[in-house]
Amino acid sequence: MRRLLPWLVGGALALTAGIVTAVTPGDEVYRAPFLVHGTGDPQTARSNTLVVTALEATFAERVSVDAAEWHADGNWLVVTVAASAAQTEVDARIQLATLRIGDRVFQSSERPGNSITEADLRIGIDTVGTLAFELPPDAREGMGELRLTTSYATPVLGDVNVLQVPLDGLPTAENIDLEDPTLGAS
Amino acid sequence: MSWWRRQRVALAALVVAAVATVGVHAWLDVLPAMQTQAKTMTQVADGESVEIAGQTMSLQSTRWDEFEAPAGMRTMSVRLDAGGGDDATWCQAFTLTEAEGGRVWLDARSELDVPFDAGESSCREEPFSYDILAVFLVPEDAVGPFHFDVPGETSEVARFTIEE
Repeated sequence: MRRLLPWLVGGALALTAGIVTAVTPGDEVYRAPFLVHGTGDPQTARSNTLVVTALEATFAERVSVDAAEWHADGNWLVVTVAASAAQTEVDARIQLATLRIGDRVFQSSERPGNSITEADLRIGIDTVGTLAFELPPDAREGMGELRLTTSYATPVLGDVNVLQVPLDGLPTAENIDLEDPTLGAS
Repeated sequence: MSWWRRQRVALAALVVAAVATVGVHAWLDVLPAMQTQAKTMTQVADGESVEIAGQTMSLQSTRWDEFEAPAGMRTMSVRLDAGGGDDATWCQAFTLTEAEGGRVWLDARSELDVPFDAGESSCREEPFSYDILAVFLVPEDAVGPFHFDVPGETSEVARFTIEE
């Protein structure tokens, strides 16, 4: 028994170490952003940097910017949002807008050139504009999750505004002409 | 042979490791933090002028609702007298900060119907006198006092207090 005891203690310690290692969160958890989910109808998410509401979502077979004489065909999802700065107008801009559908993540298109990501946001007054996502043909159903932040990249320990966009049953337009972001239009 | 003598190699390695740890921490964390220049704030008294960005500035006037604003918003116009010397440089964006509450606004002339010749919207790098006009779009619930900050080219900031 006395010869067996060290082996039992050693085994128990090794097992404990394995369990502790297994249940310890990875670095990504320590560096993960804080997700601020939208509430209400229409959904509004208020973070420390950004207040944003999803007003409307529509699929479109073509999006255009008439003023720029530009258009593009495809499976587009156009989301109209109203956004304002929460606390400061310094660097208050939606720098990164992504749409998650299942495991896939799409970044809002820069091709239209007049997305709300181009607008400087103000405190206390909404800027209304669009985000256009160029999606593969099969991405037309399920739950979309819009993630918006004022950082260029997903922030470390910073806020990300999250809005749910149900894709099932959304109308499809032949063409949506994307208008420039407008201050105080909501 | 004493314990210290027997362990001298390990102890020396420990000391080297401790010094290296402190050194790397200082090199990578402490020094960069120290090199980040803290802002030097100069509070400008009522009616006084301040030297900033190579020029002399003084608060000329402040005015609410000079320009038409969207519903629920007001405009705050801030005018400065500025005079540049030979070493006049540009300055960074003017800000208006709520003294209580801490909300920070930037100049909103581009959103409003402000004549382009109503005043300069930033510092000029030339040696002559001119007027600066900054117009802020603030919600109706914003009440003073406010701080109007003029950040210079580097870490200097001139702060005017607006009691409104």
